[in-house]
Amino acid sequence: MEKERTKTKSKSRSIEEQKLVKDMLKGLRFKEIGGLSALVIIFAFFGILNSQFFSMGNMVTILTFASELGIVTLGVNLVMITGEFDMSVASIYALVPLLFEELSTHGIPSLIALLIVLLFAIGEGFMNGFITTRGHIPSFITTLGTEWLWRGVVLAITGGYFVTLTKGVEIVNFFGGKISDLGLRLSSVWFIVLTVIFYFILEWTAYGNRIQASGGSPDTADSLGVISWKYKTSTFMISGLMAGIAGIATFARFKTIDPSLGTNMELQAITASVIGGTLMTGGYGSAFGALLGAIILSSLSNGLVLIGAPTFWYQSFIGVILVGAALINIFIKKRLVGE
Amino acid sequence: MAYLLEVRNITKNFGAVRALDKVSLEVGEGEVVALLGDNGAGKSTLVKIIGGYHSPDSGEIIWKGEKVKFKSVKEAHDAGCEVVYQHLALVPLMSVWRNFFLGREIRKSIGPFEILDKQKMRIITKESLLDLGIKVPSIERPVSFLSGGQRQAIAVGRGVHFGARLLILDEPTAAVSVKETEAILQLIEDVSKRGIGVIFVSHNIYHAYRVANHFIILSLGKKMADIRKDDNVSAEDIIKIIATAS
Repeated sequence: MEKERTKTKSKSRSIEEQKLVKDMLKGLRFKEIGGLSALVIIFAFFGILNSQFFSMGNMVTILTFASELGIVTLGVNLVMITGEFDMSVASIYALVPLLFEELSTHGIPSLIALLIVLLFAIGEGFMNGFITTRGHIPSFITTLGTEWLWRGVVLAITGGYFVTLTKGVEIVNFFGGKISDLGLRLSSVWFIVLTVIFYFILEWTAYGNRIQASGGSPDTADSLGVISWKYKTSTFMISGLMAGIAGIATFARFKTIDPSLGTNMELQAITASVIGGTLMTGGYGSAFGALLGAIILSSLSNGLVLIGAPTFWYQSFIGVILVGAALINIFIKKRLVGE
Repeated sequence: MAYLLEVRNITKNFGAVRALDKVSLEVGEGEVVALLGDNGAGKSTLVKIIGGYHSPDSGEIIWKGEKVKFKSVKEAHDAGCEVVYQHLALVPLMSVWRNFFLGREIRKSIGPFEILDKQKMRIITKESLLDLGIKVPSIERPVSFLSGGQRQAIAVGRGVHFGARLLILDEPTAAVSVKETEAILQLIEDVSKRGIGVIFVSHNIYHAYRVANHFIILSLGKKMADIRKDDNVSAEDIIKIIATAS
């Protein structure tokens, strides 16, 4: 009798465990499934039309573009999970390497110059977050404002001319230098490592738990002592830092800064996040989704060139994909969370 | 007898509107107090003042024999005084166990890093819900799948686990199925048996009558009646009082 009871107990537990595993698989499958299937379709499409698409060299090219966009996307994605937007990343992406060059040419040691400009990026993010959350204005407006502000500063410093990398090459290369003959760059290593770190933060830390709550339901978070505005502001700071790192990585590749560098980057980063399954309304998103989104955008721009389509179609394509992804997200959200 | 909570002569104005006019009430340990009244009677305002959402214009709050001013919801929570709203208690997109430990996550160290001890949190969530007889399909699922009744039950379970001494339930049986209403009323009884005070805000006198032993009736910001079950009143008597009051 006693034995039988424990038997049924363990049996029911194993069923429960199976259900748990199933639920977890479901969660994992759903969060990035849209992005993953889109990637497969896009790869198949371009692969069939041009065999060069799958060459090692081309894959590396796609990855390099994806990495620079992707590092920005990881930050923007985090901000979106807290229910806000960061439109200022495109200007920060151009301004940070530019300031680095300015500081180095004025005799400041490269390493210190790097620290200063990255601190600047974090500070800029703090400003975005603080003004948004304490001034109670939509982050879309705050960061659109700072986007204009810093782009103006970029234009003022450069006078509209290209600026060339002169000092601190090794420092810049640490973020985006070549590491193989095929053209693989450190920025790609950074991108992948950062994606894993962001995944870890979101999934396995109290901080991650709280930023999801700050986006999902700020009032609830506040009532539990999770001061949502502080968490929101912190994601803006991370986003600024990521945009700065990506800017430096790009500087390592081009060795020059075009004053219009990064134009539309913010829209691409938002698009990549949405493709990756992040909700515009906050509270939900994943780092691997952001990675997929960035790779999708990069392979689209690359593939369209390879199959000989005029490059301006890239923008139209992205528009269609963005709206499609948003629709899919809503559908998945309904299935997954029931509202 | 020392009360858990004493509210003395609380007045609150919103512009020219006097939402509460010198309202007083007491809640003892393990006592279930029903806060009754029509719409606009001031029930929600009173709850928000006790829970730390609003501060009163005048009057005082005495918590466990000491005069207090809860400046924030967090302060009230930390003291053990918690308001449970049907739809605000939990973050819909997050799983049950993440909600249970939100803001009070259990962590473990791995080298220099502090990571979530998911296993421990899952077990504790399961056990504390089970302990109160709260049934939830899966603690892994987002809360948005659950009904209003289940969400409140989880929030109550969370409050009990983290040492709440007073739980204030705002309209817990509104828009909740008959079966679930029964479960909530049962939960209120169970919780009060543990010595936790409960303020039960409701429109439904029958629901309140079943579990409460003390009834406070508000009307247009004023306390109209303060009745105990021992006074031999029936639910119908209370309905009459409310009807004549408003």
